[in-house]
Amino acid sequence: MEARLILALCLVLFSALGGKALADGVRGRAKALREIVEGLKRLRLHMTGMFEPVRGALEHSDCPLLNAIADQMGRGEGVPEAWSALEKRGSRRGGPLEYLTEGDRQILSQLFSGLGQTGREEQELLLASAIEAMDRQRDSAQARVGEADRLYGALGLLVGLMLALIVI
Amino acid sequence: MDTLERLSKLLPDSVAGGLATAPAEITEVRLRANRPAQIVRQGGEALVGEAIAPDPLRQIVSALMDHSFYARELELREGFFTMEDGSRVGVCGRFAGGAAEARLTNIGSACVRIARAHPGCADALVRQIRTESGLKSTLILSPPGYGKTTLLRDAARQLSEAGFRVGIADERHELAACHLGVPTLDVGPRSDVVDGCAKPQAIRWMIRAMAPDVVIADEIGSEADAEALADAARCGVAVIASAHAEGQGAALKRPWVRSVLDGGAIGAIAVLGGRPGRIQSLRIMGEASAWKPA
Repeated sequence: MEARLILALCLVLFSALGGKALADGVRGRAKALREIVEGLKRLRLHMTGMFEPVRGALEHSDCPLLNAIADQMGRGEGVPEAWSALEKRGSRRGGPLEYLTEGDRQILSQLFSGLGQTGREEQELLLASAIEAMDRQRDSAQARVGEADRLYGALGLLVGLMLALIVI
Repeated sequence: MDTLERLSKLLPDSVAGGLATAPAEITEVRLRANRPAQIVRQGGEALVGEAIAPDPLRQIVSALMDHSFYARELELREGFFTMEDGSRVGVCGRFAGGAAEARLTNIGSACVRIARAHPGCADALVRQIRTESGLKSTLILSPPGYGKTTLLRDAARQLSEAGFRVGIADERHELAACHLGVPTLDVGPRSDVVDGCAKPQAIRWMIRAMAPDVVIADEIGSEADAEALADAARCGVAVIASAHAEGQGAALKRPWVRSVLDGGAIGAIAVLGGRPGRIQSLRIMGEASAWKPA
């Protein structure tokens, strides 16, 4: 009986942690999108305000994803090629694209396909449109954070309790 | 990494191989869409390698611009942009828009002019224009490709090392090849550079803010430039400037040259010729005979 109780307690604990991990995923996306939006604003300032070349501007954006593209460009690649290479390997756990959805990536793909390649006015428009779109994604992700905390927290606990009851 | 090294990495192997032979002699690399590259050396030229298609040519030029067209947009309206080491990349192709707003839309060819420092090339010039009390303002004339910029850069370095405060109006980033405002080429320890700014404004700023003994400006070519030079002279600042012209006679046909000379802003005229960097003659204003090198 003692062993069953310990097992039941472990099940409750692991399920609650599982729920928390799912909620963390949603929170992680909101955080990543916040960093990207802030990074894109700094990128716009460095590119269209200070006329800094695109790689240096990406380096100064203070955003892990944009910094990763700058690193990739250091190998002699243009922005679209650097993004493409990053997309292939950046989705793994801990990578700069870990939490991003297909929709987020599409916005970034559109941005990086033209970043640096036109005049200042066009770059201003391109960046403004990407910032606006990513801002919308961030708002919706942020709205889901509280919801996900409650939902996955309660769900994890409930599943754990159910399993515990079954075990006991 | 200098421009030749960067080009070598961007060009097809058949062309890059041509750049590897005696690179120090290369003065220009000309790339044209659907044609082989042309490598120009001191005393000769050759077409090398396979034809370069338009798209790879665009990618090469884009890479030379650090994939940052917007950052070069204003320069490109003049038909060229300058690399970090001072080399100049001229571009031709399709421009859209009016004369004032012309924008490059397609690249048909590019000419990379390799910049090199030649320490000592301004020895004769500096010797001739130094006076007991300071310097004679000097106008350097030559057709394109005779080393005016190299000469000015070395003159800036030498005068700076000799104790003069030198102000450089580097509108096209070629004299000092500034990166983020800091010179990458040796222009001397007492030189200040206004980079990327129109010459008249740069000259006035420097006079007000940096109190230079001498102002150096490359490729003077308008009434506004001439007025800024005359203004500098009136402020007691010596001027060393260059302009495109076959010689003094041809230069005098330009109204702005005449106005600078008539205004007394220039004390000497040096004409380059024979070979790049060589002073063919140097005439001190008011003297009948011109100095010529032995």
